[in-house]
Formats: sequence, C-alpha cells, structure tokens
Amino acid sequence: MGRRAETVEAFAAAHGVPRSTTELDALLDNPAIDIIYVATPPATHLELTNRALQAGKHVLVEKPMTTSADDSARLFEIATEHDRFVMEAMWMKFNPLHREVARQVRDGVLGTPRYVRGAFGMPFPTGGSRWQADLGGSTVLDQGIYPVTLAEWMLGPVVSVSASGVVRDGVDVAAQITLQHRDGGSSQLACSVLEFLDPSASISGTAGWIEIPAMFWAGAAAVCTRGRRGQSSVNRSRSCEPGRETATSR
Amino acid sequence: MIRSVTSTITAGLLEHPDHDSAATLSVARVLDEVRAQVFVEAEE
Repeated sequence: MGRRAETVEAFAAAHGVPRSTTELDALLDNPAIDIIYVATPPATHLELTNRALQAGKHVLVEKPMTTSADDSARLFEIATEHDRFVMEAMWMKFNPLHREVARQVRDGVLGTPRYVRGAFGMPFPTGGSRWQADLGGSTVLDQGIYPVTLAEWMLGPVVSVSASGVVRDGVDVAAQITLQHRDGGSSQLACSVLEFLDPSASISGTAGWIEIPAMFWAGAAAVCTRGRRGQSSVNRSRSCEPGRETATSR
Repeated sequence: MIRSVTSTITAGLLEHPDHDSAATLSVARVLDEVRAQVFVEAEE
C-alpha cells in the first residue's frame, strides 16, 4: 500500500505482490492480511499502527516506533489489549554481526565493558520528512537511535543523559550525546544530518575493544583488539564475524 | 528480522524477545531526554 497508485503498482509488479491499494481501509479490512509493516514518516506511526492493531493486524513499525516514549508505550498497551504482536523494526538487533558482538561482550571477551563510542552523521539532501517537524523529522530519532540502541545493548540501562545540538525549523539536525549507564559505563555518541560524523562504533572494556567500521549499524565484520593490564602491545584479530571462531573468542 | 518476526508471531508471542517493549521504551526515553535537552539549548 502507498499513496501514489503508479508507484504502488510498479512495486507490486516488480516484487510479485498479487494485490496493491492506495486505500488504508482496504488494507485493514482485508482478512487475508495478517501483518502490516508501517514504513511511513515517524509522525504518522502512532495513528497508523493504532488503526492496524485495532483492525486485528500484527504490526512491525519502522524505527522510531513513534516520536515519544509515551506514544510507543501506548502502542504496546493497545497491542496487548487486542492480543496482537507489535515491534519496532530495529533491524540492527537482528544483524548477525551485532548479535555476535553482543554475545562476546556478554561472555566477557572485553573483560568488563566500560565505554561505547558511536556516530551516524551524513549531509542528507534537504527536503522530505527528515527535515519537517510536522512529519517527525529528527536526527536523534532517525540516526541517533542506532548508537543509543547499541550503547544500551552493550552497557545496559542509562541513568544520566547530557546532550547538546542544533535545531533548525523545529527539527533537531545534530546532537552530541553523553550517557552514563547504570553499571558504571559511559557512552559518547553523535548524530547529524548536516555533516559526516565517522559512522563507526566501538565497544571498550577492561580487556580490550571491538571496532565496528562504517557503516556500523549495517556492518558484516568487526575487529577485536585485546591486551593485558600493564602491556603496551595488543593482539588484533577479526574475531567478531558471525560463525568464525578465533583465539580471542575461545 | 522478517523471518524472526514471522516465527515469533507464529509461536504466539506478542513481543519479540530480542527487541521487546522494555528495550524499545528504554531507548525511547533516552531519545526523549536527548531531544528535550537539545531543544532547551536551542531556545537559550
């Protein structure tokens, strides 16, 4: 389903989709449809997901799930009330590399994890929902969600936030973020639609660090470096590729 | 992700164990606070 018939029909033809529509009600009223993927501008996610859940559909919602935590919480409540599945489509958490990195961090490959660095910044072309406040434009919600998700995943819940940034026409377009985590770790994160910010990430601990090169949210391999207290030399290996066992991960 | 979501729904779960409401809302609250601070700074 989409807003423009020619685009919708072309997409359906290209991907072998038997039916297409520009009418939301036709989609929601179709009993043959079990699940809907909401991939519209963020400001529309709350209403569309609510309607889909009320219609008895399971829903996968493009990130950010909504433009506020309260609105997202409401959607989970509605899903529960209607006995339906709902999830924010944070696909990075299903990427085999990131799952392997998380496993290694959890297994102590880095010792005690203490620090996450990550950024997602690119000079996106102006125009479109990314730059419109009324459509939910926000670099924090659109790009910043990746490093923040990585930081919470690796270091646990956040207890303190310090942030600064740039706002243009009611849209946050750049942000620098420092997080303190409950277990003592910290994160330095950034996002922007104004300029490039090295789109890599790293997770550091008492026994080493793992670097996920650009584009970190979509990476397929990472580099693990380990050392010992008091040593100036370290051992590097591509230890974080899913399914590849090396000395650093044994 | 799509395959995993499909199998989770088929199994009858209402949330995905690898990205559930707690994880989603925890990040969302951080994003709320980041945006609040950025907008306050912009108004000063």
